[in-house]
Parts: sequence; C-alpha cells; structure tokens
Amino acid sequence: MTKIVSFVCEWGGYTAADLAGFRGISYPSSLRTIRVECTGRVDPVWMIDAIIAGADGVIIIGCPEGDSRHEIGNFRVHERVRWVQKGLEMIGEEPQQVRTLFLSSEDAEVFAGKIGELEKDLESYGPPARDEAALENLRTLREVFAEEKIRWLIGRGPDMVADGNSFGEPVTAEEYDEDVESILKSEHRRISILRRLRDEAGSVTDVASQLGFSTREVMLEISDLIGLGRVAIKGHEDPPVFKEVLM
Amino acid sequence: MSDEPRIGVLLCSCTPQMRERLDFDEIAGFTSSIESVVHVEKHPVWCLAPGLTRLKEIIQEQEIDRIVVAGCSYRTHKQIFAKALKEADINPYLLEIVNLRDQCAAVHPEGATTRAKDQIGMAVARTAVLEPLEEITVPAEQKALVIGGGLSGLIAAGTLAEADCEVIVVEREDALGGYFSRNRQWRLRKNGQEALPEIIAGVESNPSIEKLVSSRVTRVDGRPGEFDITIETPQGEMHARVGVILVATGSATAPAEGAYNHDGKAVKTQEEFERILYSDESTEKPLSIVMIQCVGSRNDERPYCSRVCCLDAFRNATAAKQKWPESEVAILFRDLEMGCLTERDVKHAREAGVAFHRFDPATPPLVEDGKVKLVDTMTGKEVSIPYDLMVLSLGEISHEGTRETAEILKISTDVFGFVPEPTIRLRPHESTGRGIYVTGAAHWPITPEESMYQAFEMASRAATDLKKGGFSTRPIVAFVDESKCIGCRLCESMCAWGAIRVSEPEEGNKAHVQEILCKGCGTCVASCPALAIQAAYYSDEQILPSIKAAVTS
Repeated sequence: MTKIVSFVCEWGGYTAADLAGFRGISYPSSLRTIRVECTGRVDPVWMIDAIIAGADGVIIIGCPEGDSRHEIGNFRVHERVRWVQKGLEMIGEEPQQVRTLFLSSEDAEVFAGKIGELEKDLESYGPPARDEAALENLRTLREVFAEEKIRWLIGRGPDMVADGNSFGEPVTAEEYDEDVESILKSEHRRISILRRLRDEAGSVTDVASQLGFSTREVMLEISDLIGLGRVAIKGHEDPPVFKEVLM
Repeated sequence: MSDEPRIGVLLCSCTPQMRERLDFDEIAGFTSSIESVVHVEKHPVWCLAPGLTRLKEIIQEQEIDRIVVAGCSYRTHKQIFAKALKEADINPYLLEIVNLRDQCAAVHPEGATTRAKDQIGMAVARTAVLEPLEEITVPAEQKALVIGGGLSGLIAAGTLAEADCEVIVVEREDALGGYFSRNRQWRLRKNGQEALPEIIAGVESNPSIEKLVSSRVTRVDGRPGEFDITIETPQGEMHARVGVILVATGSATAPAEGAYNHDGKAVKTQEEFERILYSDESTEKPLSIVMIQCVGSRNDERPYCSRVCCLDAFRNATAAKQKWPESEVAILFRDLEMGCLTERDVKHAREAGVAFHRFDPATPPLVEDGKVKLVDTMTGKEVSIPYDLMVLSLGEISHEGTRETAEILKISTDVFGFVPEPTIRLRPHESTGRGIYVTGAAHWPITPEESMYQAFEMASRAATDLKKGGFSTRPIVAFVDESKCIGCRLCESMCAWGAIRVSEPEEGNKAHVQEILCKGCGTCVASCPALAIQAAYYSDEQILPSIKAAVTS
C-alpha cells in the first residue's frame, strides 16, 4: 500500500486537514501527518529520512506564499524541496515524490484534492526500487543534505540571487542553480567515498572500482578530505589505505 | 519521574462516525503492544469533566508521566489537556494529540483504523522523547517610551501616566502637539481644536512624563521589557531603559509638486487654504472656489486612498460657504471616501450649497482661460467653472520619522513607508514585535478621532503588558549548541523576528536566541549549516521517531 508522509504546519496544513474532516471531504487514507510549528522547520534531511523509512511520497503542506504565519518559513522550505528534488533526480529517483503544497487553512478541498493527486502520481511511478544500492544512494544523499556547504548554499541562495554574492557580484538564478547542482554532485561523490571508508579502510583503487569513479577523482577527493581532517592514512602498505576519521 | 517513559494513551470516541469507522479494539490492542505505553483507555468524551477527572485518577493509579490523547484536534484541545496535566503535576509539554475525529474517521470511509494506529504509533514514539518545558518570562522595566509628541503620542503618554507608568516622550520638532498644532487644526472637530491645547498642557504639567523636544531616538537595543534606548537631545546624548515602546510618528501631507501650476496664491493646497479660511486677519475673499480631489494620489505611484482628504474638502468647503456666503464652491472628485465622512458632514455641505462634480481619472479636470473644464460623469455633460481660487487635495504620505523609526526598531513597513498592522482582521492593535506598539497615522492615513481611539487602545495594551510585570512566551523556541555554531550568520538572515543574533567576533561569534522574541518557527533550525540549532518540542530527535513510525505497519 502507498504511504505518504506529510509535514504540515499547525496554521495552514494541519488546519486545512481539520477542516477537511469537519466538511467530510474524503482523501486517501495513505496519508500520515506530522505536525510542526511552521514548514520552515522541515529539514531536507527529514524528507529523505521519510523516503528511507519507506514512504513512497513526501508532501510538505504550509501556508500560502506571502501569508505565512511565520513570514517566510514556507518560502524557505520551498527552496529546500527544490534542491532535494534535484538531489533525488541525481541519484536516479523520481524527484516528484517530494512536493510542497501551500494553501490557506480554508482550502480543505485543495488539501484533499492534492493528496489524491499525489497518491495517483505515486501509483503511476510504480513501486520504487528499495534494494540495498538504492538505499545506500539515499543514505548518501541524506548525508549530503546534512553537509555545511550545501545547507549554506540553499539558505543563502535566494538572497544571493536578489542581492549578489558576498563579494558584491551579481548572481543570476541560472548561475546559482548550476553552482548548487555541481556542488551537489561533488558532495555526493565525497560522501560516497567517506561512507565507503567509514567501516573499512580502502585504497584509492579499491574505492574507485567499487564506487565507479576514476582513480584521479578519488585521489583528489581523498587528499582534500585528509586536508579537512576527515580521512586519515591507516596503513602504509602499497597502495596505502585510508579510513574516515570519526568526529 | 522514572527513567523509562510511562505513557498513557486516551482513546476518545465522541462521534458516531468514530465509533462506526474506527475499530477501537484493534486500535487499543495495537497501542497496548507499544513499549513505553503503560495504559490505554477508551472514554466517550475525555475532554469533559468526568473524562478529565478519570484522567487524573489513571495518572495516579498507573504512575503515568506523559500522555497521548487520540481524539480531537491538537489546535482545539491542547489547552484543555495541558491544563489537566498541570493540575496533575505533569509538565504540559509532555503531551501529544492525535486527531482521530477530523483526520481519520471523518475523512476515510476505508482505512481509518490503519491510519489511526499509525498516527497513534507516531505520536507515542515522539511523546516518549518529549522533554518538560517551562514558560519563558522576562521582567519589564516599568517605563514607556513614546516616539512622537503629536495627538496620538500625547494621548498615549497621558493614558500610560494615568496607569502609573513613567513615560518618556520624544518629539523631533521644538514643541509638542505635532501635525495638528502646527498647521492642520481644521481636521480636528471644533471640540478637538479646543482639546488639543488642553491635551498638550496636561502632558506638559505631568511630572511622570519626561518631555524631550528637538530630540530623536537613534538606537534601540535589548528586548521587550528591557529596551536600551539612545536619544539625541539638544543637551547631548541620553540613555534610558524602558519596558515598552509606542510608535506615534504620524503621517504627512504629500507635497503639491507643481500640480495645476500650484503657486500658493491662486492655486493653494488645502493646508494653505485653511490659513485664509480660518484666519480672522486674512483679507482674501475668493468668489469662486474649485477644489480638486485625488491630486497626485490614487495613481500608479501612490495607488492608495488617503481617506482624510475628502473629509478636509467637505469641511473646508462648508466653512468657506459659511464665511463667504456669496461665493461659489465646487468639489471635483473621483470617488468620495465616506468612511471618514459622517452623514452630518455631507448634509452640512449640501445645505450650504456646495456643488459636486465627478470626473473620470482618465480625463482629469483641465484648466483653460481661467476656467476649469471637465466632463461630469454623473450627468455626462461638459462643465466649465470660472474660478479665482483653486484648492488641491493632495493625500497623505508616510512621515519620514515613521520610516526612520521603523528602521531603528527593525519593524517592517509597507512599500509606502507605513507600518501595517499584522493580519488586521485577526490581530488588530498589535504590533509586529512584542513590546512595540504602533498607534495613529504611522499605520495609515486616519482621522484624528481614529488616532485618539488607537492611542487609548495601544496605551492600554502597553500598560497591561507592563503591569503584568513582564513578558512571557511559550517555550517552543530555538536553542543553540554553541560548540557546534560556526558563526556563519545564516540564521540571522533567516529569522523574520530578529530573534537570533550572532555575537561579534570578539564576543565569541556565536548565535544567541532572544527567547522572548522567538516564535519557534524553526526556520533557522532547518537551515543551520552546522546543525547547531534545535527547536524545543520539535527537535530532530523528537520528529525522527514519528517519521520512522509513520511507515511501519
């Protein structure tokens, strides 16, 4: 059976759900709601956690644009969802399994309608592959969205596009998107390597062949990670092996 | 409290739909099987007195230390159960509510039981890791700052002083009284004209009101209850600590900017016209007066209606007819703003013989050979009025003092520089920040009467907050793990309430939450690059168990 996890804000989503009940408007019983104060609280990591836990779809339901009880919380979560969707696409997942819905607490019909639509779409995508490889990809993505660099970019992005970057240079929406996409890719590669070196030490060639990267990519990444203190040399045999430094 | 959580789950079945669509035996069986649940009980109405009494009994009997209620909405019922828990000596934040009625039974003819079980499982998983939280309160300095010594500010100051609060009034001009005392007395009714000097004198002679004229507030630090303010006075910089701040900075009349060849003589503004109209010394005696409404306003640049200019025109036109009965007075208007006008104003103007012509904004009145020409859209006929005095109604703009003050206080203004009331229909007379109250025309162009009402209202609110001794807020706020904070300041730019600030590098460069301002939205939490911020009641540790439990069955 399809399972949808939704994060609803107390003021928009949760209230609309209450009203749907009050008006007796049916919607799929596959929905499971988690109430938060504001959708601005919904962490990108939670969205991926829900998928890892077994949700087929995730929907974040908050107040309408420009009318959030918490001013801009909904706008912030919209940006996060955009990037989670890009991340999912990058690892070959259906990006639309994570969505936002912004509505007024009055819009019980819209609430019910959109849950129905999501369930139908999820059924049309078919059951997602949840083999070990897919799960590993998702767990890697989860870690990517817990990384400082990505979170900072997602948070700063809209302001950067509006006011220019820290050096006062203008940044277009396209440039910003391109930057985050390339950083998403490189962070994904970096986290994949870190996860590989977490439980078991490995050499550059081991890692490259197991993860499907070139030895050059892996070597550069590992030397960066050594510089950051996140990976250390574990054995000086030939070739040398490396292991993640647990913080 | 024991180390292991002891959760009591209350199942409620008040509607027939719930009894019909939910299999309570199955739900109870499932719920009892969850570790940490020590007691499950069904009751037709937990939220009424018998249910609440029973709740207290089972808390005692079963040594329950936290509760999940599966019944009605969290929005409507959290307070009822929080109160009952408090009475039973359990922290009210060790509570979660599952909405079986509106979010399960009422919406799912099929599958309601399955969803109910999952939602209860999710709530239990989360409740097991909830932590007790205490209401946040901060003391308040029993002193108020009123910015602006005009009508609204003076009334607010007087009201606060009457409530035994010490008050500082800061006025940028060299005397109290504001807008109306200097030029626009007409807008006050007759009794208002007499009242204003009285109001000023009352404030002047009040020993608990400190009056600072030719002064400006230049800096405000601190938090509600403890604002540290810096005031620039002619005697030098002055510092004070106040508990609340009232903004009464008013609005201003828009400049004529040469409209209709405005020269202050044959073409006057309403303000200039009043100087001859209400002066006993003026010898000017116009024979034909034409007033034009909405000059420079309700256009693309300034699309709003200033409301008060129709009132000005009506009262001035009526007064002109009374002063110079033989002269002709006409008002050319687009629409009449009746919100400010009373039936009496309209009646007086008509009885006095004021003529009215309506024009279309696409074809505004034109001046040709000493005549004003327009097509009156009420009759469809072309009208040509000879005149020797033209009077322009210019509309209101925000006062520069309002814009400056808003910036200092970090409260948001609209694009026109006014400070709008937040969601006006739901929370009128409340400002965007706790401890800051905005009154009078700083909000929007309003009449002196409205301004006075607002001043009483806002001063009462401020006095109420002060008299309570402090400000309090619910404990659902963000908190920072300083060991993780990297001082990147992203949270600062994210917070809509100015509640999180990063200290200067020499002071540690760490984020600090001003709890009294924090609304607990969690936007900073979910954005923090270093994962250094958490939100009480909605922390990662308290949400992740719900996510896991959502997809188990």
